[in-house]
Amino acid sequence: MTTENLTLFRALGAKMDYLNQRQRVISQNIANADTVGYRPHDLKDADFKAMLKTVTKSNELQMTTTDSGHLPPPNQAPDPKEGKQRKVYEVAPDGNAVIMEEQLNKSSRTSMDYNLMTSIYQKNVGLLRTALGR
Amino acid sequence: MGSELLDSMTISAQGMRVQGTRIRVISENIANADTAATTPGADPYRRQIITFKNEMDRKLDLKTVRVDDIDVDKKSPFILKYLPDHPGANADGYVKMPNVNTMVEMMDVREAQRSYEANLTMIEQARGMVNRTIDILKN
Repeated sequence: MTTENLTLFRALGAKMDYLNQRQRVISQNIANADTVGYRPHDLKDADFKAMLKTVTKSNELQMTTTDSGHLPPPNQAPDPKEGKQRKVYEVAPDGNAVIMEEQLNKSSRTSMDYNLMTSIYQKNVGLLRTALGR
Repeated sequence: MGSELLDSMTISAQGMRVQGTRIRVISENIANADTAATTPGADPYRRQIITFKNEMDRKLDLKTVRVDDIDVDKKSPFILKYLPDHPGANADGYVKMPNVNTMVEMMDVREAQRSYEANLTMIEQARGMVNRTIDILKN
């Protein structure tokens, strides 16, 4: 058995995946802070509510994909789309709209969320360990 | 999974590299701030401007920031200085001096420095996240 079989761990993994992706997008924005005409990107808000439901109602049977041609079941991890940030504070004369403070704020929030996820992960591993008596 | 964070570090490192190139170009401008014309008809040193672009790196399969072009500034005029003894002086005794404004260049250096530090912060943050992931394996 791997931790992937437990819905809680799967949900944590999905959120961590999302945060990793977001961190990459923010790095991209900061690296392009002086690129002419660059508009900052961001991930669309991902809704993990449906996924959390599978955690709390784990007695329900879940559908799963066994073939690459299958459509994903509705309560799977959301696939966040990357797109240009719609609202920007200001645009520099050269067309660049990256606000360093805003991006750094986003990145620290991502980092903090990630910290929280790894902590929950470790706590749950500890819980399982206690149950196993090790 | 995890490669996203390493990608993020690559992007930031590339961002630091282009800011480094920018500082080199600005140093060149400041160093040549007094490189005047040596003959009456000739032009002095022309200020250089660096521009960036976000380009797809096929090998890494992600977009990284690149130096687009290092071009000379043809728009701003040369500064005329009255130096009748200079070999580059024209009939009226004026010498063409480079179109470099040291104040503008210093501001550019500051901006480059700030961007460099921001990229460095991003690398540190990504590294912290990787370390925390590794910490899950411990204890």
